Amino acid sequence: MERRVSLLRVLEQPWQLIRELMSDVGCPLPQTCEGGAAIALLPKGAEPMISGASAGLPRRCAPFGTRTELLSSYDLPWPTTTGETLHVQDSRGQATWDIIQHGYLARPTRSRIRSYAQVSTKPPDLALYDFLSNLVRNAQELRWTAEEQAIARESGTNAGNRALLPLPWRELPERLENSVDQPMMGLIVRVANEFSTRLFRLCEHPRRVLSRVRQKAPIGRVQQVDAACLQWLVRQPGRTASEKAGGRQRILAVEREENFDTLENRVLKDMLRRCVVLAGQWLHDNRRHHTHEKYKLVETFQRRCQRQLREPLFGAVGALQIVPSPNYVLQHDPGYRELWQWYLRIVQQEDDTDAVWPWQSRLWSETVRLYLAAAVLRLVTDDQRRLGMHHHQLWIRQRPEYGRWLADVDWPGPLIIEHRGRQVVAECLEPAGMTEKRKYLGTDLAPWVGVLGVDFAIHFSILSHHRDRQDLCLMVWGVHSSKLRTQWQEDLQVMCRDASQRLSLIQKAAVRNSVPCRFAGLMVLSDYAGTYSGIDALHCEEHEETQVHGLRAPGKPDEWGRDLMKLLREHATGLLELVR
Amino acid sequence: MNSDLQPVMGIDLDSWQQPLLQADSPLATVEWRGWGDSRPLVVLPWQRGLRPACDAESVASPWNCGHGWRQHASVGRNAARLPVWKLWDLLGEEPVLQDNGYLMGQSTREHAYKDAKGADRQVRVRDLLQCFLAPFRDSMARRRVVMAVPNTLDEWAQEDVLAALGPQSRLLWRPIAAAMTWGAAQPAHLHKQYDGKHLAVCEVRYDCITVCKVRLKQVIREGQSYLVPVRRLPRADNCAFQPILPLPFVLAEGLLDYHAIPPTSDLVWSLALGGDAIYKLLSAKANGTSERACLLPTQRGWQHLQISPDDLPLVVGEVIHELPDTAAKEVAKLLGIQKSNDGSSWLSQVTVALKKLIHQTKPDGFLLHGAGSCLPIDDTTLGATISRQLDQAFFPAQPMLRATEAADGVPDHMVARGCVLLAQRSQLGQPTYLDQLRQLDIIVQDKDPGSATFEDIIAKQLIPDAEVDGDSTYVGDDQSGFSLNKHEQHVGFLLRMQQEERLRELKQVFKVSTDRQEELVLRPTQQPARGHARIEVHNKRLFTGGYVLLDWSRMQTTHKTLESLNRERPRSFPPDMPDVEPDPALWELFEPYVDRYLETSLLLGGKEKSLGKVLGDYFFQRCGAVRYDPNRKDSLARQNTFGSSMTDGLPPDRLKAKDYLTKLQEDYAFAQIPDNRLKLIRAIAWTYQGETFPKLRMYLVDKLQQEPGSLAQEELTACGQLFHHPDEYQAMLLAILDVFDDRDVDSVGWYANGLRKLVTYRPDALQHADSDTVRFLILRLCRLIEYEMHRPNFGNRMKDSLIALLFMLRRRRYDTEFLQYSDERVQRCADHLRQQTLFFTPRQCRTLCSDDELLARLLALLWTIREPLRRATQDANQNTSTQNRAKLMLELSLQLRSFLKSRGSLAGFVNIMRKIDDG
Repeated sequence: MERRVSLLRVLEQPWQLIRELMSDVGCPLPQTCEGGAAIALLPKGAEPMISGASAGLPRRCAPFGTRTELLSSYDLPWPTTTGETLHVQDSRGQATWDIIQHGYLARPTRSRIRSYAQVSTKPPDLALYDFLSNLVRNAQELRWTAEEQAIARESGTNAGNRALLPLPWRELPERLENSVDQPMMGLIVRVANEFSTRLFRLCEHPRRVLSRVRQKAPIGRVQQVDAACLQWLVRQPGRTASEKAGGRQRILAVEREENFDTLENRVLKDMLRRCVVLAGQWLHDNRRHHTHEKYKLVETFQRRCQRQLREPLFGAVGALQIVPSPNYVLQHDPGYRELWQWYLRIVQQEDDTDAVWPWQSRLWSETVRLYLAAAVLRLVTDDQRRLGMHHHQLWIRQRPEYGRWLADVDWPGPLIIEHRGRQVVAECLEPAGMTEKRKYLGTDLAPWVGVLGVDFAIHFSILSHHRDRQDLCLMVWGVHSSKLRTQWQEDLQVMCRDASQRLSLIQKAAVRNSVPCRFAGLMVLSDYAGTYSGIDALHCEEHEETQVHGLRAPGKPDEWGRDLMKLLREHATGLLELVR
Repeated sequence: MNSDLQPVMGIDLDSWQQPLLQADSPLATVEWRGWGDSRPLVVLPWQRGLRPACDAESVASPWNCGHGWRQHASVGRNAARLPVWKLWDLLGEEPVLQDNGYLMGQSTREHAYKDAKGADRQVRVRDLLQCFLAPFRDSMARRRVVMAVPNTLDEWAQEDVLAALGPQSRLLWRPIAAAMTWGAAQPAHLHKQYDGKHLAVCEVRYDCITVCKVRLKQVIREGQSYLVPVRRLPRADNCAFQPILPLPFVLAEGLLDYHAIPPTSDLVWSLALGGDAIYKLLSAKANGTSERACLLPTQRGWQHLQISPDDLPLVVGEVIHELPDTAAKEVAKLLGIQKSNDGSSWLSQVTVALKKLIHQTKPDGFLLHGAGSCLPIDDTTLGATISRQLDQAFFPAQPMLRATEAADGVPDHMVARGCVLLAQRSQLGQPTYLDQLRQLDIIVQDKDPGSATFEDIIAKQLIPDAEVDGDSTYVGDDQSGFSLNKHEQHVGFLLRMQQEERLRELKQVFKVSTDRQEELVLRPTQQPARGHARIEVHNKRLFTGGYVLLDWSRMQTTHKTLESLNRERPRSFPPDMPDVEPDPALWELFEPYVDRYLETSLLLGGKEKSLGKVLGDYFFQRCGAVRYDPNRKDSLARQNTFGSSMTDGLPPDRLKAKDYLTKLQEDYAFAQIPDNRLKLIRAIAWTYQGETFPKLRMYLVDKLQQEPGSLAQEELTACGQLFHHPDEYQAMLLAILDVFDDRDVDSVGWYANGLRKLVTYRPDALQHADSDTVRFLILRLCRLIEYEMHRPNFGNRMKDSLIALLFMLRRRRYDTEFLQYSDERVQRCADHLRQQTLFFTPRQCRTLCSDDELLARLLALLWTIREPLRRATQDANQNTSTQNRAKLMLELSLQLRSFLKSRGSLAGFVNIMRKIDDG
């Protein structure tokens, strides 16, 4: 079959879109990408999808390009194994493309994760996995909070199970600003805090079933015999029963034995096992807070779980190979039902981390958006809050969709920020939510946002300005790669310079087209293997008055969340100087 | 006494400022409530797993608000937002003219729209309403709630609204609520003056104007006078509706203009529906100035819109006096609203429309109210401005019957006040208003007096469309006389609403055996504006709990109609043949002959002259040209120059017809020449008007009794077509029986013809006959048919005999034991005929096919003998050809059965007859 591969272009850095567009040169075959956030550039209307998948690839932005060719960009998934070739095809089956993916880390297996659970220096793939599970935990925490609020709001309903649940935006900054003095929250902390008592009560009195077995019993204690026992008895030598019972006076009889090997107890055992692993990881991650109450709570919890697992009772209970379908007891017995719900959450955490692995770049950009939104929300005062439309709620999905928990284009409405006596409106522009034909505040921003391949942009403008206005459009990239950032400063410098050069091209084009808008850039680089020792200052690269600031976010969001928001807030305040 | 009364609450969701009025004690404390933290705008679920919401946060959310840069924001009717005024639209506010002249809204249970991703979604209208009512729930729980609803809401919508409100709530028609408030404000000395006057209650709402004509009535109770409105069911002469360009859009344009922002359709949409901007800007009283500002994205960046209370009237005045811009027109187009392009202002369009609507209803005065009419404009209100123009146009001489909300001394928020008034008066036992119910009928099989079996399917009225007290529940008298036949295992109750063609059915299976006829007692109840009627059917033996409830809303819609039931339901056989109807077209053809006859004198110079030239063949061809109604091919309706009804049988030119009858009467009295007498008798016979010719009838009866075998053909025709007294019927039947017994079958043709005419023209003839006489006549007819079978073609004797035989079976109607289908005598008779009937020759069949009526009658006979046919198909002794023929005939008999039940088309068995004919 002829493969029309020349139409597909794979970009490793999003801002390369503009270069591709300008050079108009197709890549050689086959397509390759190495460890970055791969983007596929296709003619408008191609609607690509992974071979064998039911849904198409997520679109990044509105179609853009020259008059002769309109292009659309799509996020490509990361491979889960090394050296994987990605088969992409047109949804109509008219074209297929093979993309060889190099330099990506394979998703670690469960056993590998467990074996390295409490190792300080982890291999890159496990460090990346930990980084992702931290991001996932962040999102899940928000979802669980939303579920709790929904249940409290609509008591007695099944509100917590809805596909989308709201969480007020105004609560977001507080929830993201986790104090560095405290160990991070986690599912295991919640289990230890909220469920441990009932869990161990279940362990002490697990459900049992009585099964009948035939075994020899003292003749005086026989309660029940059946046909098989009688057959055995008549075959024995002797005339009377006592003679047939032999010297030890025991005959075959039916006896009842307690059996704990039931599905619900297997789930209980698996829960204990998972809790031990989770607790071990959490304790390892938070070992510097070893004197904190939470730490001690989890430590105790882990010890009790281990002790329970050593009990002979659980030795007789089989192990679970897969997550089973719940039986009647797991669904309706009060104790086991709660166990089942917590168990599913723990399983879901692992599943979700696995599920977002192919879409980790998207998850990273969503995390950056959340922190930036929280930073801008901090700038809004009560007076301006009343004027604005930011009473908006954040909608969080139950399960991630293409690596994202938030609904698309979610942003706390146009926010009014007071800056030097002027009121500035800040609004988020999501490239995927923009359409090429619509103008934003009278400006054709969609092509600019699209061609730069930004994850999102924040538009600042003066409120009720009539003439000679100058808006500011802050282009934000969340850069995530599987490369180890050993030379992160150089990497960041190169990327910021590269991006600022592209941005200056856009700025010139905007000036030519009399677009009253200044462009600036912000690049937040993930450094999954890095260790946190205070957030770094913004790195700045300037090209012909176009600035792109870069920032590295190492390790866990719990550690740098507060500092990052503070820095972003300061940066946003500085940028507001450009708005006229 | 008053301390026991419950606190009340009136809800008018159309009000932006104060939709809710609550009073804690009657005629005392009142408290207004605004929307609070909610908005009169609901955000529809824009994705799976969400619910509609109208709280301030949801409404203020930029999600799906119509802002241009949002992917999911689509300007148009599916923008996933719904203002409260659009909700009434879904519930069927816009009336649709029904077949019987009534206007009624057509409510929808679900609202369809597109979500953020363009997927089709639906939301229940009841959920939307509950969403709007959510902010008032706390107050509603402790109060007696009355909510205002549009005048044309159908029962489905009423029940939906009541379900959302709660079981103890009431609904009140908006015009009635306004009229009640106005009536309560009128001094007692004017009540008598206003009594009987008609008031056009005009409402200017956000998206439409409505006019409802109500009659005013003075009611004096316990020495106190009340002026109450009387509502009629909406009809074209008392109710009118006109959609207008929605005010929020017009005002949005005005506000944009006020802020010097060029209006575009996106901007107008954003401001009017995108969020709560228009609400915040215009709901000044409730929210204070700080709330009266909003953000709007424009071509020039984000704009901060706000307006001072002083400027608001200027803006409103300017925008309604000037032509709306193209942006609003574009939005109106997207909303599906018809918009005139005559260049007139919004105000003049509304005024013109109102004038037109008022002109339709022709009232004595008008009352103008509505949320739109209260808007401040210049130094007055919009309502007052419109009112002035209407006053000048219609009522210059009657200034007393002109009232405008919030002007002319009339209070504001009339609708909410009216709701509270209803709740208060209801508790105090004071008169409220009068309403008209929709008529409800139950479908029954009726029995004529003297009839033994149930015959025609008729609709029996349970609830009349009479004037009832709007506050109380109409409880009809217990209606007895209904019964169930014995040996029934289940019953299907069928109800018909006044404006519905299709019936509703409730099937009830009996757990006990019905070994006797069971009497049923029906008790209908209905409350105005509280949904459908309910009928309790009482019978302690049949129903658990003593009765079964027929709730229209819970009964199943069935495809059955009164007509279809009339066709399908088995009854005594064959069906009635309706009276012959006079056909004007036939009279036109016959008229020249009448004129000629009227000009002719019977006596010339004292001598009787022959009437042969005047009453010739052409004359009788015209007057005896019976034909089946060409417009009702599936029925047995016949037409002729004269009709066979004694009361309504004369042609259109009644004077000439009467002259004709008089002349016939006179001539018959003087005629001596036998030929003249016969001609005159024949002419008289085709007028069917036996009552006009008593002498002739007497003569015929005498002759039937004295010389039964000597009657001429004309005289027998006259007997069949003029007789209408029981004695006459008996005389004729006995005479025919005598003749059949005395003569050979070859010479009784005319008597068979006379018998056929009697039984087809006079359906009641067999009621007064003796069953034995009828049975003997049938046997004689069978012999005649048997004789005729030997002929190659069927002649008139065969036709007359078959039809007569068929109609003689109608005796079953009056004697349930008469020749039952399983009766041995019928079987014998059928067996007798079987051989011949089964073996029609092709030629005979062709003859039959050419005469539909004969075919129908013959096949009716076949039905009677279907059992022998069935046996013939299974008879192993018969050869294959005979069996096949019998099968076809059996199929015919089944077709016939459906025909007789349904009076259906003959096409089915004509085709089968052709098959028989072919092979």
